[in-house]
Amino acid sequence: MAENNLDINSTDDELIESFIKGNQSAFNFIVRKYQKKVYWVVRKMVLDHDDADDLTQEVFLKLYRSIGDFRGESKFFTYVYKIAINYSLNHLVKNKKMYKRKSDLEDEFIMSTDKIADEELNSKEKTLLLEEAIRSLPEQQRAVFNLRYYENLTYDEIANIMNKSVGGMKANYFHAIKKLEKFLKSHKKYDLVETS
Amino acid sequence: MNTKYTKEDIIHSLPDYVSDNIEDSELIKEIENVINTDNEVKNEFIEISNTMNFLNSADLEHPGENYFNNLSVKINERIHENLNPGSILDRLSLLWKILIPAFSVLLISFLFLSNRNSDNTEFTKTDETKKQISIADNKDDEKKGLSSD
Repeated sequence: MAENNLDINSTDDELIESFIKGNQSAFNFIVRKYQKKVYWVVRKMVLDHDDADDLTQEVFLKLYRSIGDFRGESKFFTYVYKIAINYSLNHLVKNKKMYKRKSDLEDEFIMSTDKIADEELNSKEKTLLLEEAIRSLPEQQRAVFNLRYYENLTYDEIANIMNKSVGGMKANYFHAIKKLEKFLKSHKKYDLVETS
Repeated sequence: MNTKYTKEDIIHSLPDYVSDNIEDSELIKEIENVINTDNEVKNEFIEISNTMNFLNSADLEHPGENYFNNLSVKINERIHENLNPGSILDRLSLLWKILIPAFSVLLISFLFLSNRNSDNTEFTKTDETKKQISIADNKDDEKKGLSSD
């Protein structure tokens, strides 16, 4: 395909090939094609918008530098997701203490909302409860849950991204759902959602 | 129960069954069969359904569409910054940032040391003068002594 004919709808292979040949604008199309997906994968891992913003930029910088290493053995988006998940996992491990403190503070807020009786959860409380529920998952389980539930990836694709077995990923997803269930049950307000 | 799937397989497939993510029609049939016959699996199904209902109804705060319009610009800037870490002028200005304070420190040290040295010379000169005066005094005394003799 001629360089001028490239756009956001061009295939990944066309964009990669053109970029490797020196067409910088091809990488801009890759960015525009994947920026939302990468942002949300990272955001659902780290939960904080500013961290997600910074990490998304880092993911694309890494992609810019390493795109020549992509051998096409797997789909390009799994390659992109792999970078995004690895950066998010590293970030979570590095900032474990900070997240624990933040989580304690937000837990206090959720406890205080538990006291409000007979009121349906408003969307802000639901958002906070969801954040805390996701935060309660161990990092690896969080990654599997996000990739399966939000990104709708197959277990084969998740196993490829996580470098783990398919069976292990399926069990991980089930245990993540059970852990979320346990967390939500421990918050009184969640019962109101169930019955409403 | 069909021997192809264990009870554990069925239970582990419940989240995908609830979110309609199973393509294997045989597995779907088997899950439905077990839900209707096994109370433990039925309870598990109800609890997982409740959890998934909550997950479907809640979402994280969205940053807004404008954010994504600016994101690609920020990404390109980050790439540019990392691949071209400053022009020659930028690098020169960085050099000056180091050189000027270093030069100032050297200059102050030099002035301080040279000042101290000149003070020492002054002392030495004064001592020398005092010595010369005392020698001259001694000579005068000697002369006076001789003349009195």
